[in-house]
Amino acid sequence: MKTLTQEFTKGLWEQIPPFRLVLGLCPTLAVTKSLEGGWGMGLATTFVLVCSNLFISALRNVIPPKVRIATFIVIIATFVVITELVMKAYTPMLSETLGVFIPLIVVNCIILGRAEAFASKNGIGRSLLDGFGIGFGFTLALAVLGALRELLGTGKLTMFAQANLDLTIIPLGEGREFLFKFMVDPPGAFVCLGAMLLLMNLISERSARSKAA
Amino acid sequence: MRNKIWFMAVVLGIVAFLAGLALAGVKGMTTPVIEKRILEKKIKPSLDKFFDGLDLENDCIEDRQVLDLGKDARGRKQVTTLFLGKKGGKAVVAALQTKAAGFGGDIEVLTAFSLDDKKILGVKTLSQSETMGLGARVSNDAEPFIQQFQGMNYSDGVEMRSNGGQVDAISGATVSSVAFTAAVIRATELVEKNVDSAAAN
Amino acid sequence: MINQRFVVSISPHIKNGRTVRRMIVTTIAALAPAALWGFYQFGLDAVALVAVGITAACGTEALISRLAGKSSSLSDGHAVLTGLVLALLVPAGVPFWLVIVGAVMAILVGKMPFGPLGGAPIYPALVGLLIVATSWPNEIKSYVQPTTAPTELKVEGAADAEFPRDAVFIDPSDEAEYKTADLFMGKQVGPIGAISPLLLLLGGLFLILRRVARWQAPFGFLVGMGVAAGIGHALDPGGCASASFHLFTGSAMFGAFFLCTDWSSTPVTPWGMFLFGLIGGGLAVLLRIAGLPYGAVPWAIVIMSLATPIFDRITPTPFGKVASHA
Repeated sequence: MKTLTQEFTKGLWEQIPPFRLVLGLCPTLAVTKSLEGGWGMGLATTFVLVCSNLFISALRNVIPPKVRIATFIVIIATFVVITELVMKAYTPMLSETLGVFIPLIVVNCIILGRAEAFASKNGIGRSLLDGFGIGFGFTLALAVLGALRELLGTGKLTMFAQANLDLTIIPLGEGREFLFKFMVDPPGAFVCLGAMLLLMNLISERSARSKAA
Repeated sequence: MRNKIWFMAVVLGIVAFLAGLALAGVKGMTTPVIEKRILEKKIKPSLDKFFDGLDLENDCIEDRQVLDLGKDARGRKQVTTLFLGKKGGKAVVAALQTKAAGFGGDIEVLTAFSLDDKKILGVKTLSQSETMGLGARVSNDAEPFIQQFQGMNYSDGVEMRSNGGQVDAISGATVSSVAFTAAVIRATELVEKNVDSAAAN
Repeated sequence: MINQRFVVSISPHIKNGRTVRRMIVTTIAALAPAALWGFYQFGLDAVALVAVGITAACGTEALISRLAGKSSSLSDGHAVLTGLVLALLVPAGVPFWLVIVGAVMAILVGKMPFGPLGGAPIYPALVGLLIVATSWPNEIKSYVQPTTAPTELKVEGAADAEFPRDAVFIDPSDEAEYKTADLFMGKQVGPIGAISPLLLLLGGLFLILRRVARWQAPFGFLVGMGVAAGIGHALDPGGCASASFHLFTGSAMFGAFFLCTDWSSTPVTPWGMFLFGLIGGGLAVLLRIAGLPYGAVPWAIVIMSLATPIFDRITPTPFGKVASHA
């Protein structure tokens, strides 16, 4: 049995969703055109994950096993629609950036996966910690990927477009929109994701070797 | 008890009912905010720019009218919003929101008209999902393609150069340009058809 | 753990004096006349671009081999070939950094992740080319007027950007201005190494005679392009140029003989190769008519390469095989 701290921190490295669980790749590839898209998607997913974990864990002894998936989906879909409406109303630019991928959180495997594998078997406290941990891990991974792609693709880092928070790291010439457009194109997402997986594996291999030595 | 069919139905029913309640509540809370946001953030700045210096006597956002465009191919109701600016009790300018299918989805366009001399005051892309760097250039107001509409006379209609008209496409983004122009053409037709009757009201 | 004492190297395993290195050297030799013609037409800029491309490709490969702790595979010459093909497929006016990025991407993304040789699902030089072509759509079209071309030849971008193709003579209605013989002899605007159909054809035949490449894929590709362009031209002469025009411009000949005959990214069975070429050629013409921003032929070949595993399933029935009762 893990300690409560481990329950939270496992999502940040050991089971970080896109790299270790290799789940939720659709939004990972699709919305990480910018730093903002990365963290926005990450936090939206975290909200849905934490809420659904909370409710599913609380209802785990009531939900009949045969209809559990249907129940999970209803609960998850509710929070997804709430997120979508709230984002449309209060963070319109972010909501436009993420577009259809907000409603698509409902089919994100991470959420249903955590509901089925964790929240339906563990208490409320642990489920909450699990949701926060996995969610923050997802946010972190998406933000790093988004920052990398945006920086290479356009030379900028968008923190929050609605408040005009962006940094120009590499200034571009007159009339240029892109530094290396491939990176913000869909195939660039695959290449960046592959490079990050490589890096993750290298680091854990190194640390495993040094532990063994 | 948890394996009884009535129990499953009841649990699922209660969960779905509560979810519906929650959604109805959130929807009720956010809808006015979303509508207001679209009017204020997207339409108002454009209208202010297009109608700048005209000293209109009414607030055209407040006085907006909803036009019923009938039903589309799938039987869904189509509406658009018409903004009329009046001077001396007479409508002098109008703006209208239209859309047309582009390369990556609908392109929504706001077109503003000066009614007396039948000129387009300006066009503005409200939403689009075209290819970055090519079709997406329609959302750049400084783009020559967008600029060319300003001051264009629409009394003889608006048409693409390839169809014998006056509009030059963005090179490499013909589909997006055609769609954008189609939306403007639609707006011209609607203005010609609707404005007299609207002004009479 | 299995102790790896016995390492099986990649094919070919038969020792008959033909080595991978020699096959690659033959390919480079077959490309040489077309490349030299390009150097003659476009001058020192073209030479410098090719040198930069080769250097960048070799440097990247050496660096990656070193980082991965593998022995360097530079000596087989594949990196040189990759850099060369990439540089020959860009116009002479592109900036140096573009070729460098292309070569690095070709090796880094297109080649090394799939093993040093023989594993790449897409021709590595094409990966590099298309990455830079989509990233810098304007720079990639920096065509240069060749030395001996008739003066009325248009350089793309200036005249008509509405129908950008990988061929330079963009507007089909202009076709009458260009003589087919001029095109065939290499008096045209285009990528450095792809402007001379004659020399590419000779180089390709040399490859086939030396049995480095098989004839099916190039033949299929040319037939595919010819038939598709012929049908298109017959149906709509204003929208589609004639077959000879399509075959002698852009990178059509280059693609047929040097890209469709890659060892790892094209099918291995005779019918597979022929169909690969045939469909690829038709696709290239369609992409040109549809007005792809750059590189219809490279794109067509890349798309076909992705379908290679399907073509590989077309296997000849062994002689005497009896249908089994499943």
